Amino acid sequence: MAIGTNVAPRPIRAPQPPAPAADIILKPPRFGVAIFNNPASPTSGVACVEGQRPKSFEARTELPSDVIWISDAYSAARAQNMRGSDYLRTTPRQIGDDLGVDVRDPVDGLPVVAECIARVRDMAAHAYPWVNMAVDWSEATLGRAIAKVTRMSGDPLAEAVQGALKQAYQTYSTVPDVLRPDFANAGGGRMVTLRTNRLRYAHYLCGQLYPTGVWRSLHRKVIFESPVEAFLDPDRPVLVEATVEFLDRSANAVPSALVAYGSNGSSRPIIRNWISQPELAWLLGHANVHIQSALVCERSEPLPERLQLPRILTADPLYALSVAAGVLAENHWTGVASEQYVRKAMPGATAQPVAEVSSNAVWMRAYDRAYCFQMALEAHRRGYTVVSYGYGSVTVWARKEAYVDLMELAAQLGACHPDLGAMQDRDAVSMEST
Amino acid sequence: MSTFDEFYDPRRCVNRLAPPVLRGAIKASDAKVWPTAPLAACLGDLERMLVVSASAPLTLDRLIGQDAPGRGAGLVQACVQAVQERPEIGQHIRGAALALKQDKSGRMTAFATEPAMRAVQRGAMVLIRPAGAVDAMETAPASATV
Repeated sequence: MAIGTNVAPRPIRAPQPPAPAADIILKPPRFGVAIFNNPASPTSGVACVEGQRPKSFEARTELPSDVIWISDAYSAARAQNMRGSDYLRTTPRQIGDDLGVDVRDPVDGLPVVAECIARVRDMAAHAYPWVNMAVDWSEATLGRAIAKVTRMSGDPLAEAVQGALKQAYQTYSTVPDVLRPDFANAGGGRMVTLRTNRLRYAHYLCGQLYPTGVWRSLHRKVIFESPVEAFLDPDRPVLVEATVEFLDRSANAVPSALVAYGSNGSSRPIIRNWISQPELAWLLGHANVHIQSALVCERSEPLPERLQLPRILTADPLYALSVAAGVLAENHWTGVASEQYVRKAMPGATAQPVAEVSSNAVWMRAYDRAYCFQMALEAHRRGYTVVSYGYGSVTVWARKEAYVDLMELAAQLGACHPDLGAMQDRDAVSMEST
Repeated sequence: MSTFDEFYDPRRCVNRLAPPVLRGAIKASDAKVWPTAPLAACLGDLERMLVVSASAPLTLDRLIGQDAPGRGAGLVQACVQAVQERPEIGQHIRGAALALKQDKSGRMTAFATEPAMRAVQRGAMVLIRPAGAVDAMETAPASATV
């Protein structure tokens, strides 16, 4: 522009406020299912997210990173957004069995399981007061994530009470030294886990009474003077230190192995010197229990609102017929009944994570064990070899083709999983094809 | 606690803790959770479809997220399929048909959380408040949560 030329002055722009920062979008990560060709060496396999076609992959890194992949790999194979088969406690394969499909079928099975798992995710996102789901769901299992957001702070228990609670805490019951039946040795049997309705069972467990208040020890003289009924007052929760002896060898006696006292099938055996009241109530019917000392809690109350099942799961009784709702309900109660790790100062001025159990957790596991023992007892009386029980289920040996008998047993036990009808149909089809 | 009387009062021990009764304990719990829902009483019978029918579990699982009429229709569809597959199950789910009929009037038609649930399914922005977990989910920019 030449000097001295008249130029119309530019209009001065009014100062504008800076553009607002884009809203951060908080949305829950998607859930997908990944089935490896070899779960022990998880590299390649087939994966599926709800609403999309299954795709095969050669390496886990090929899978989208914004998805939590629930796989059939063992827990040691977790990496980044990959979770083990225990993430939802129920494995993808079990979910498939409950829905009547085979998860290893990439056409008819895998998409169905992915759809169901997506429903679990939708309900989980909806049901709890998450702060940031992307972070909150990074726990090793969904149950732990739920426990984290529903956890209640309370006064720490005395060491003596905590020690007693730990010895009364049994998560699962495995019948020791179980003998395989002859038909199984001949290759004609398999283990089948019959399971109650997960949602109704969670309601049952969450609807029980739990110890609340201060624990006090009972004087030895009082223990010896009290009749056994005194220890079974549900308004006065009791933990007893006792020895258990199975002396009855009559023909109708329950085998002591079926009680699976302290046998949880884990590589970390537990020494059971303490028994909680709900366990004592049924144990007295099958064994001699010699009580040596006891702790009594102030009172019993229902679980606080925060630990009750979320209302989305109680909105309609029809939801009890949904596998997805049941899986979430099971994660809820196992979260409440799980151990918590707290850092504690140890000798030598170091802090280490130490597992602690709450009285709620011990009582919930005891209610579960009490109910499942009744299932195991019924199966045993009907001639089945019981392998293990817990989590609202019982595992028995059964003949491979005995679907009708198993359906009858399921009806007697009040079990509704897995879908035996679909298994029978699949077996019939594979028999025809061979 | 050192005295016998303080610990043990025979009048209080009438309510003695007993081992659970199979099926009965869960049915009693249903009655507490859904005291007015007619369908709750026949859940045990409807559950048999999950064991014996190849198609019912999937149909019933898809009821989640549907509105109340959709859920009712889904249940009817599952029952029809189950009876076609296994006629012997008809005797168990006959009672459910009557319960469903009674339930229609009392069924929660305005399930307020469903729009929010659909929003989550679409991956929409959500805000979840700690209190009132069910009704609290709203679609809102996350920047408004602070």
